[in-house]
Amino acid sequence: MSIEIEIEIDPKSLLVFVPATKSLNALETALAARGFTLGVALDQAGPANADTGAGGQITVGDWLAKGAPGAASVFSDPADHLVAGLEATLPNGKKLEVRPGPRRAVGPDLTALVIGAHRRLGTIDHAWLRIHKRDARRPAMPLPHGVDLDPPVSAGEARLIDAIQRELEIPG
Amino acid sequence: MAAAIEAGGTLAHHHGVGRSKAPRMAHELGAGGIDTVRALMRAFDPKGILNPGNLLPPPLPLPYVDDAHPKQVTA
Repeated sequence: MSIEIEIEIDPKSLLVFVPATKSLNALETALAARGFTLGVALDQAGPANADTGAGGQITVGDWLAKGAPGAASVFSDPADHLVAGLEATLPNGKKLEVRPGPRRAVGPDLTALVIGAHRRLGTIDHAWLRIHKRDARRPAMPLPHGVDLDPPVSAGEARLIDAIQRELEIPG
Repeated sequence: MAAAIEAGGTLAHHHGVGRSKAPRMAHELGAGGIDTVRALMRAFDPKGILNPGNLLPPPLPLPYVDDAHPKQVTA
């Protein structure tokens, strides 16, 4: 299957639909061929290729499960979220689909539930990621090196996360 | 509201859901999304006292898991 079939680019909305099994590096290469980029610091995104030293060998699914290291800080532009939508499998086996769309206020942010959650609360199958034109002037503001994407949580927060996981494991 | 969702829009951009839109939440979030929200509600609000009916339509998110759901609501 070719790269062109595996990913779906929406140049008008600046989105790409990508399977979680695709490597970040391969995705960026495919986007570059169409004049787009994720705007991610690949050298911070995951393990490097042992032969070439190139970063971004991590899959999109693993990368998002780890909290998307190398992506621009959401604090620099809270409205420009990295993930516009996704399809995931919940711990109980059910499918969760969050359509890419405009800003919504219909309950909790379900994309935030699975990003950075290390697959505890769901496994991402596909994602709609925001892309940028390669020639656009876009300030690169990645998270600083060494930032802790998985900080320790308090005992109360840990209990809450455990409770969410248990609830999501209940078969419907 | 159906036309908005069909066009790729959303039920509520900043005012939230409320009782008027709650019955249509499934059209936007799908069955999996509704199940996920119910699970979050059980975890965050095991007594079901935080504005019930203003986010999801009935049935209420039951049954709760044993260790998160008090058998009797006390004042």
